[in-house]
Amino acid sequence: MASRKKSYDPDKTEGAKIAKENRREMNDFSDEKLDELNRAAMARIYGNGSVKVRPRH
Amino acid sequence: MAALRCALDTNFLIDLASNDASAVTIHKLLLDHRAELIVTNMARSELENLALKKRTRREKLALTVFDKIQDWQIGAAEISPLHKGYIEAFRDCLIRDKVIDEREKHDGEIIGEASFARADFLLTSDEEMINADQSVLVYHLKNQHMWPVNVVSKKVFIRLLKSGPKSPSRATNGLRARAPTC
Repeated sequence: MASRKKSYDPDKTEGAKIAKENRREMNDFSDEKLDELNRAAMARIYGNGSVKVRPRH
Repeated sequence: MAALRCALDTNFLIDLASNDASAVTIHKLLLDHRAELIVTNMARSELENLALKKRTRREKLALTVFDKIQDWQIGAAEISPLHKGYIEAFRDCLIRDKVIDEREKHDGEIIGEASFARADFLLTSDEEMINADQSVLVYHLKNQHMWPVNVVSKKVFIRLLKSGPKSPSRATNGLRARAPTC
């Protein structure tokens, strides 16, 4: 019997699954908690001095 | 002409960290198009939350994103506290009009953030966002004088980027007419 190869869907990935579960888990986080996480993320990316995207004109 | 600005959802960044073929292809095509790639507050908060899951694959992928994000030429769009109120109002309208479910409220916020960051596209694999009623979404963005960001899936985006030398324009296929309530 011929086996049917599962086709690749670029929108059904490990990233989609992990991110969705994580987003739902964070549903009840307060604004303060989200800000705290964002600041920690910025520190991981840029260290203490943050670099922002310039405004678009 | 202003460069194409593209906001990347958390799922895309995780896919990039795990070397997902479509994410790698899109990233290369975007850089070839000299697109400006950004990540907004909510996506950064979500990545940090994943990075706190010690000794898991989630932690590993999130740390890979943080480690490589500058090499990937992805910048941080900072949403001001002033705009957060507008974004929450926008999100509430989407929930009221059933464009998104209340349990998916952060979907609405990330769309709002991408709009305030003036992104032309929000690239996501989030099923609820992809399947949201785009006509009502566009209505609310216009109604609240917000930047008309397009929410697109990787599948659609690859097609748009490969379709020609011109920058992708609004992906309005499959829009359904429906009168919003707020």
